[in-house]
Formats: sequence, C-alpha cells, structure tokens
Amino acid sequence: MTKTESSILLFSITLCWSASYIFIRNLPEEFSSYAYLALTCGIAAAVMAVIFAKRFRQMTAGTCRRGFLLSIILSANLLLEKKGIAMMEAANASFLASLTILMVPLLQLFLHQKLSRNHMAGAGVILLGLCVSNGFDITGFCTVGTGYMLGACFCSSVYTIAADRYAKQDDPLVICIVQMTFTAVTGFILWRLESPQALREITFTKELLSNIFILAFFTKAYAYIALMFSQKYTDALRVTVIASTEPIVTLLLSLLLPAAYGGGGDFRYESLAGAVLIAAGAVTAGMAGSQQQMEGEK
Amino acid sequence: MSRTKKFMITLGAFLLLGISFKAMVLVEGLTEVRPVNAVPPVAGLLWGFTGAAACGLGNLLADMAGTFSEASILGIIGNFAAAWLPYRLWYLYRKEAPNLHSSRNIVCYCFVCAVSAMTSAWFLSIGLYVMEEIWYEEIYRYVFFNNLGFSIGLGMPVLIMLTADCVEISCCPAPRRYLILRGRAAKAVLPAVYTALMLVICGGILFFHSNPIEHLWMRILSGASLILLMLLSI
Repeated sequence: MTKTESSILLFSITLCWSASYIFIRNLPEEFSSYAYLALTCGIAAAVMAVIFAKRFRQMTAGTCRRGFLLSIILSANLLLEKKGIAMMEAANASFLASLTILMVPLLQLFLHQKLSRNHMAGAGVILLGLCVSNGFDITGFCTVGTGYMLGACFCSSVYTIAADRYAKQDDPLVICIVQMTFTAVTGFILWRLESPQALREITFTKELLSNIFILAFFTKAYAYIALMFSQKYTDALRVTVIASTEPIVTLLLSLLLPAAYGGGGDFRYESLAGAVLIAAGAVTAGMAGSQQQMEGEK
Repeated sequence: MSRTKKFMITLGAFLLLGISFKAMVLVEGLTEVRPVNAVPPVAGLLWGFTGAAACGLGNLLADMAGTFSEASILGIIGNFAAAWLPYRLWYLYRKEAPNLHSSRNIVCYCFVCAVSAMTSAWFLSIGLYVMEEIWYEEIYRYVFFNNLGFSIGLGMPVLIMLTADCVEISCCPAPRRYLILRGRAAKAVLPAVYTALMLVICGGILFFHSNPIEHLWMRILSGASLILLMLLSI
C-alpha cells in the first residue's frame, strides 16, 4: 500500500466518523451508550467474522492478547468520553477529544521515537486551528468533565500508538475482529450491569435497526478495518493528523447535507478559519513523508 | 475463490447496504441515499461479469424491501452497467489488474467511476421517461451524485483494502474479447465519443435543465449513447 493509498483510507475513516452523528442523533434518547457499544461492535464483529472466516487460521495467543488489550483501551476511551460529554458542552468536549494531535507526538517523544520538524510544525498549526474554531473560549473547561475528556484523549492516543505497533506485527483483519469481539463483550457486560433486563427493554423499530446496522457497518466494521490496514503501512502521527481534519469534514457535511439528514448547520467564520488552519497543518505534516523519502533517495 | 462465492459476497454486501439505507428516502418510491453504489464499480473491476450480475440481482432484491415497481427492471440494468462498464473501460486504458497503487491508476479509477455514474443516471432517468413518459430531473441528479460520490468516497478505499498485498484477493482476468473495440482507432475513438455524449447530456441536465420532452437533441444523443453503450459492452 502506498502513502497516497493509506491517506485515502484514513480520510475515508474521518468521513465515516464525521457522518456518524447523523445516525447517532436518530437513536432514541433512552438508548444506553453501553447498548450502543455492545450492539454496534457485536454486529460488526459478526459481519467481519463471517466474511473473513478463513483468516482465523492465522490467529495466535499473541494476537488474542493484543486484541484484548486494544479492546480494553478502546472501551476505557469510549466510557471516559461518555462521562466527559455528559458533564460539559459538546463543542468543548470535541475540542478536548481533538487534543490527541498534541498527545500522540508527546507520547512518541516519551517513547524515544523520532519526529520530523514538519510533523511538529503541522501538529502545532492544527492545534492553533482547533483553538481558532473554538473561539479561544476557556470558560467552559473548569469542570470535572475536562478530566474525563483528557483521560479519554490519553486513552485514544495510547490506542493509536498501540494499534500502530500491533497492526505491523499481526494480520490487521484478525486483530480487528478480536478487538471488536472483546469490545462487544465488555459493552454487553456493562449494559447488563446498568440494566439487567437489557435487550428486552428496547423496542426494535425498522428505523432503529437501520441506524444500528449503518453505524455497525461504517463506524465500527469498516472504520476499524480501514484503520488497522492503514496503520500497517503508515505511522501513528500521520493517523492523528488525518483524523484531526474531522472538523473540516463536519463543516462540509453540515453545509452540503439537507437539514432532514443533519445538515443545514449555522455557518461561522471561526469554523472556516479553523478549518483552513487545520488543512494547512495537515498539509505541512503530510510533507514530512515526502521530505523523508527524498532524503532517503539522496 | 469460486465464482459462486464471489457472487454471494457481492450479493450479501449489496443487500446489507441497500436495505439498511431504505429509510433515507430522496425521491419517494424511487431512490434514497445509496452508499451501496460503492459496490458496483469495485465488484465489476475485481470480478467482472460475476460481480456485475450480483449487483443487478442485488438491486432487484433490495427493491423488494420497499421500492419494488416496474422501474426495478431499469435498476437491474443500471446497476449491472455500473459494474460492467468500469471493468470494460479499465482494461482499455490499463494493462494491469485493477489497483490504486499509482496516481495514474487513481485517475483512471475516478474516470471510469464518473463515466459509470453518468451512464447509470442517464439510463435510469431516460428509461423512466420512456416507460412512464414523465421526466424526473431529480432522479438524474440524485443517481449521478449518489453513484459518483459513493463510488469514489467509499468504493476507492474499499478497493485499496481489497488490493492490498496482505489481502491478496483474486481479480478476474481482463475481458477475453472486445468484439468492436479491437483496433487502436476503435479503442481510442468509441470510449471518447461515448464519454463526450455522456458529458453533454450531464451538463445539459445539471446546468441548463434540458429534458427529452422539450429538447430533441437529448433524444437523439440518448439513442446514439445507447448504441455506443452496447458496442462498448460486447
């Protein structure tokens, strides 16, 4: 897989995750987050297991262990995020979640990994873009929710770095299926603890089933397979840089989609300025690869 | 991988995606938001006739979940063409199996997807006009953007994954024969003329609101396009 191919893959994941809010907001309010986690990951794991059944031959105890570890980090991330979002405004929570762009390079430096100047500069410009789109407003951050969101951000960064390492060691498909299965089991256990009646309490309408299938297929099955694949051929920082373009995609979707499908959002100049800076940062960081390639060729 | 398995995988993917999105209606009883349109170009490029046939049948079965009508016959042909045409065109321009490892291949993929999207949109809207004598401009617009957007936005990354060296999916070989597109001149001229006709029709509908009821040239160009499409397909 070439660098361009892995970038296309990563960008398609960003597109999927940006578009997922259309379907998430169609879920009923009483639908538990644990139910969401258990059902979407469960369906995704089942679909992947059926399609890639032959791949299980390549599964080892090590793959299982690594998949389990990834699922624990992913579940912790999702649960902390849920707590954090409940305690603060969505825009502030989204800003804190985007801080992975800062946390991943910091963790990489801590792990004695080399970072190019372009990567560092790109990450800085993207961070500035996020601040601009947020309007440099810090009043909403003095809550416990900030702690939870920073915890979620840390887990997300650790996940990106761990997935980067494991995807290069194992078959990305197998590790993805194992991870999805364990995440579904974790979600189901938590769902049962929260509400012992679990499945019986939900009224499955055609719309609800449709939304769950769409989310399972795109935001879980497709997105995580694509993520593992691209991580096999690229580095963790590049993954974070492309993921950080999510505000641009969200802005475009809200302008392009009809109001009935989640579009028609208010246009703000801060969002546009932030999006331009994020794009500039992504391009700057993206140039790191070609620079390294040129140096290698020399 | 056997042909039956290829057929069943494509059919399964088509049904799963097609039925899930039936709730996101764009034109009542006729079309909806269709990420499933990412399947035909990928299935066609990788598995040729088998993939195309599965797409045609898959569309018919998915229609049975809510939008089944006489127009479903157009859906079968439209989706078959959306898979078959990219397969035929790819091997006219590239000598290797479908992949997106180079910029040229990416451009070629986008080109065949664009031609395929224009073909599906034109065939369905003109087909509905012939069958019901009503012109739906929205159908052309929705089908075109659905096909183009999803085949590039979703189909391209899927093709990248399926052609990655750690997946090793087996592609079907290049078309055994081109009955008409044999000589160099035919290979160069016919696809170019067909693309030009599709572009004229697309531009006319999207920018000037042209329609076959008021504009004779639309009917003439559509007739010529149909003949060329058949020549490209055999």
